[in-house]
Amino acid sequence: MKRQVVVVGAGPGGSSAAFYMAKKGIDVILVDKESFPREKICGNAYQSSLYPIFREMGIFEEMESQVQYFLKRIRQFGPGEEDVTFKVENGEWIIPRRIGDDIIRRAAVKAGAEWLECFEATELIMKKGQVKGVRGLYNNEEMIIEADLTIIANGSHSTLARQLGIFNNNPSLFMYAIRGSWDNVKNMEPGTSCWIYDPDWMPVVDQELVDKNFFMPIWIGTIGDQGTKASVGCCVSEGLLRGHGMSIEEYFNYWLEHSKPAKMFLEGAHCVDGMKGWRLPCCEKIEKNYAAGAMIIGDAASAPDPCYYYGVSPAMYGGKFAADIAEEAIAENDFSEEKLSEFHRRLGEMYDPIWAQYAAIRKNIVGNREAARDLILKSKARPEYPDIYYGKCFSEYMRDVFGSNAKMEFGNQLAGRDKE
Amino acid sequence: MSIGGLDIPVSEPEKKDGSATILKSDTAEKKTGNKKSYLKDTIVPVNQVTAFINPSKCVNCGTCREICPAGAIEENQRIICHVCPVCTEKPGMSPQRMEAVATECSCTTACPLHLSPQGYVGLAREGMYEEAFELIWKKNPLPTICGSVCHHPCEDACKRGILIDNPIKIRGIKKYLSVTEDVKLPKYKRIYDENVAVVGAGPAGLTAAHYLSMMGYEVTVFEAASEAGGMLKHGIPEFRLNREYINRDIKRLQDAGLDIRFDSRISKYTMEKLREEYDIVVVAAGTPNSKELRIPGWRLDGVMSAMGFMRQINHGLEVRRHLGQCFKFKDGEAVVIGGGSVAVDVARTALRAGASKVTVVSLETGENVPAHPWERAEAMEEGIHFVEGYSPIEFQADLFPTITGVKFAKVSSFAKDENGRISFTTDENECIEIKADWVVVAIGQTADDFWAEYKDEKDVIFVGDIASNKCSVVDAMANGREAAIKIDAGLRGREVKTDMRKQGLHLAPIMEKIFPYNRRKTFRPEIPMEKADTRIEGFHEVEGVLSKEQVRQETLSCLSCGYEVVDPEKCIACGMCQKLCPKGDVITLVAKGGDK
Repeated sequence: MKRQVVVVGAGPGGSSAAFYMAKKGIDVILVDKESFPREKICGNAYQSSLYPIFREMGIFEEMESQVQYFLKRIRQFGPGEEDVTFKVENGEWIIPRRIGDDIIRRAAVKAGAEWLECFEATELIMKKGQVKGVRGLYNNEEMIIEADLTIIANGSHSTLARQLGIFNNNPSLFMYAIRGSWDNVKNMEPGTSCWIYDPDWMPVVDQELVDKNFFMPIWIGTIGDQGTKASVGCCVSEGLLRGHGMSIEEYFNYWLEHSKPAKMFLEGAHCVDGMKGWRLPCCEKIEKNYAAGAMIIGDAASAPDPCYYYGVSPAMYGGKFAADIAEEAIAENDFSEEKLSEFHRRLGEMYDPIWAQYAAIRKNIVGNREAARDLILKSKARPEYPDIYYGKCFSEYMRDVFGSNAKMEFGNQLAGRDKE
Repeated sequence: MSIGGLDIPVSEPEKKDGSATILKSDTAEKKTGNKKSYLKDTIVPVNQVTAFINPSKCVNCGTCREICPAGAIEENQRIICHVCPVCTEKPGMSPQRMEAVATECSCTTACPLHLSPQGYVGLAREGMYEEAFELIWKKNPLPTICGSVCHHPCEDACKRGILIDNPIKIRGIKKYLSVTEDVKLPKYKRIYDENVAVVGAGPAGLTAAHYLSMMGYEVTVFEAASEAGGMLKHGIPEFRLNREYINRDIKRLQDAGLDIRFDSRISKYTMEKLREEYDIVVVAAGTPNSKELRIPGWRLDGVMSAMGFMRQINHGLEVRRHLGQCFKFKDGEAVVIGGGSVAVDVARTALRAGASKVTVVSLETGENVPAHPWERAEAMEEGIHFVEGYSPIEFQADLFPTITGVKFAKVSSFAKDENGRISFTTDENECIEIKADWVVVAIGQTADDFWAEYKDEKDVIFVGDIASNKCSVVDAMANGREAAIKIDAGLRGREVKTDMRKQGLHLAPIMEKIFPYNRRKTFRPEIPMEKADTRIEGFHEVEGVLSKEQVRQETLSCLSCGYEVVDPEKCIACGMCQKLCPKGDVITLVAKGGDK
């Protein structure tokens, strides 16, 4: 079959691209290898920066009605297992990705995008160095979808993006994550998430790698109002895993057996659905996400931020910008690499400054064991820190430590942008 | 000589000015489907052209690697992501270990015959069944037999099995290909003057004969029996290996031009004649005699050797003379002594012969048991009992004297040296007695004595069971293959290429990493097996053949972990690889350092 645009992957990124394109009257087909709704390993947060997009798509109310709980506080455990609670200023929606992603996809289909599920894209069709569609398996039969423009949004395992040479495998940047739903959790307050640093007592094979890749591997987020059910996850960068010489399951199980917070929250609790895993990429600066005839959005182009690995926002805004560029490209009938590089420029304009700040936080605090310890102790001593939004707290701290030269106007920047 | 889209005069590959005329070639275009080669209108110096193998299309059959005259092609192994549980049902491993696994094992290096399972699985996936079968047959002259009874070391090394769920059913795919495909195979061509005699038409002898014939020698096979197959026919019971399959493979070899002379037993005297007539004599006479277990009572009626028992059953002699009466296997309790594959086969045969209870007793325990775990599992399904760690000390008899039972002592210590020799001690205080109406001793085989005289002769080469103590079909065949290569090297003064396994595999660049998470859902067929309660009723074949659709499903599950890579520094741009690639569209000639 032949369409003007084919969007591979119907996550938030692909769906938003298909939505905006369908709105502009482009003949677009949205394909996914799963049948929706589908499971996704994730922290399940939809940040406030996405509200305007949800409003534009007309799904704000529907999404709001599905909010499981509103994330208000983050309790942070440092490397020595000392803890402090921060407030989250604007809050975050926690909606299971199974439900949230399906609502977004439905909006795209409602807007007029053609929808094809159980189509597993295996290969890009290349003609004269230009992407001309995808080849894949539909019900185990080979099927070809030709298109002038291909939007690749099939996540961090994307083989299509790799075919174009786009694959971020920097072991300090990407992470492996596992997550499961736990029942019978103790001592958790509803609306609070726990973030736990890599503890000092973990066995180490390569100290240098552990120091370099210091990160917050464990998180526990409550589900519902009682605080007895929680989503428990573990996301460790490949570098850190190498430093500890463990697989992610071994790492998590070791933590479960030996750590104080595990005893506090998870003693007697059990995992109800089994721990499932995923790969999380990120970038410190928006990476190359275009090729002749193709644009790559979301995790496939390693768009998530380098500190919290938050990917829905860059994916959905990426989809929106991609639709703008697609409209121009179709009008001019120009699908060259130069034309589509405009997409990279626009996305970079929006995200690069913020991602740079995240990268600085990562380097100076999250990636620095002593600084993280220091921050938590200082925050405990100075009650004004915890009142500030988590991110702002970092910037205040950075100013205290590095002087006024450290320009860290960090905050909920995207949310601020909405208000303007 | 035509090479892809190029014509390069081979007699003078490098002209004086260092350039070669490059013309269009229609035939090559047809084969590769390569409509446009951007080199075709320009003249590029030969020393700046290199072969390029498309990694996504390469099925790692190894054809190009083996024929490359410059040794420029090597095998790369992709990393299979296996850290978080999304990709796997088995626990994840550390990134360091994940990288190590990539090069530690692969089906290609595990096959003793150096076949490339990934190659024929990949070709079968593309629907190129004939090419796939030919790829197998060139290296494995007994594909149908191996498809039925090989102990598949390739499946044990399959990364899908190690990392994700179950290995690809490589043996099942091979069986399907060799049972269904009826391809016209190439005939042997004689190139050299030397002739070779092979004694014994068993797996080792036939493999050596096949390889030598393929290389261009005249080969004559002498077989003592009136049928070829050797231990395949005498040792392996019919329910595991269909007799038709043996005949099918032998017929293929005879059709290709192999001269097998039946009913010609080689004795001490005829051997001298053979040595005069032939340049090389390959002895693959096997080990037809069973070892005897000389403990008190070993001459009792009812104590049989494994080969004697199997020969009786395989030739339909259900009745054995015993004290003037008919000795019946039916409804007796049988004891099989031994821990190897033969013991398991004997036990399963005994069950089919009508034994009411079969017990297999082995010296070894746990992992030391030489039989394969899957063999034992199949036997256990059928209701065979296994007793481990006991050594027989006496056959007990009543007054007649007919055997009534066997007395065993517990093995208190057990050791195996490098050559596979076993030393053990028993504890006489801890004994068990097992009731037995008849006993089969399957503790090993020995060769005919007179061969020992020729051990040091240069023109007599021993292969197969007679040369090594590994007893599986594929190991015997591998032994035949190695001998053939050594003979060729000796006669022609060639160098034996170093074993790929010793060189070690190469790790593919990180860009080629495989994320298998979306391959887990793939439907995995099972090889059809008859149910345990009905299969013991007769001697018919237990294991079925996969259907075409099942084979397609299974080939789709192959992760394609390996692929070939050309080292542009070593490549001499001769184009041989492109010409001989069975897929045709994988290899192209490109300018060095140019856009691929």
